[in-house]
Amino acid sequence: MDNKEQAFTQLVREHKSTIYSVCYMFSKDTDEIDDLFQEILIRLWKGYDSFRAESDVRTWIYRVALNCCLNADKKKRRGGERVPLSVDIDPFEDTNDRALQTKRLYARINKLGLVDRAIILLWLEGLSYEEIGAIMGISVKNVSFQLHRIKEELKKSHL
Amino acid sequence: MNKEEFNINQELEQMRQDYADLKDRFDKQQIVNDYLIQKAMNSDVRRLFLSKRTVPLGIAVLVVAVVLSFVQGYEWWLPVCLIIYALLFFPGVFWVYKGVREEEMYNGDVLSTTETLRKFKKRYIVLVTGSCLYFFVFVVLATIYMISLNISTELMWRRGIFIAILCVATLTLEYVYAKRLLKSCDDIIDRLQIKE
Repeated sequence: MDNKEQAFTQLVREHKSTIYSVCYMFSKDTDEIDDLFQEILIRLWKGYDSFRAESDVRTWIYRVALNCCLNADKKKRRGGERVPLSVDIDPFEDTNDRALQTKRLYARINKLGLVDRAIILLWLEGLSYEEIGAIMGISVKNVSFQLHRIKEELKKSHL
Repeated sequence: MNKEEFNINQELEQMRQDYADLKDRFDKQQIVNDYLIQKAMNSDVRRLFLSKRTVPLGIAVLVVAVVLSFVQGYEWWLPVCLIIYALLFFPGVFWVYKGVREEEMYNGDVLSTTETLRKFKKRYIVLVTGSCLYFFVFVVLATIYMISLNISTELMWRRGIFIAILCVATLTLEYVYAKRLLKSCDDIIDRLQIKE
């Protein structure tokens, strides 16, 4: 493994839970998570050279992951072998207390449309409005507007 | 702050807490192994740019087909149709990819990437539709011509109709698939381009 490959491997290991969380919020089952995760890894690798000129790794990872989840045609499964991820919890099937808490979050977020889901996910992650704007390609003012609207929607869905 | 606002803020804070817990759970998992990362690094999945890369191959096949048509002494219209197709289709492929940068697909923000993808898909529909229509007309004319030669008429009709149906089916599938992607791109753009 050369230096670039080692650095990429390290990067993936550091941000695995971020990528996995995004995949989870945009999937309906673990197979779909596996597919999306693999597709995101490939896109990260393809874009790795051009990323290195940029500054914030977290912003870049979210850009790639969300682009993949929003624009991927999930019905058109990737060709080739599907490699199952090494996860011994099933966020869709487990029934313990923490899993129920996860399912409750998943259910609330899944009531939203795809774009709103992406924005609220970035907000939950604790990203600043500037960072959310940079990832989505919109202004800070627009981020604020969108978040206000999404919160209103969440409020309505809760009533 | 009224009670309703307080409740939703509490609810959002709860969601943030749940999300932090979720990430914490995922953090404790191995998730990726070396094989998976290696596989991603060795992968050459470039579906979106596949057509552009196959243009030289397509040109080579057409050149061989045209040369063979002449060598075999086929009717003049066959190679001419192929040449016209090549002159229309291959520049069309470059037109479809105009302004689409591969790096942007991996690094661009959501809105600009979606806009680029939308333009790409729109042009793609035009190219595929044009290409299939051309091929359809070609098959019909070829069938009529072969029938006029009086060589097993029924079989020729069957083959002609079969190819025409195949052609229309391909066109419909491509159109429906691209249209669906276009709609999803439109939805994303509409959602993000709220008047500020």
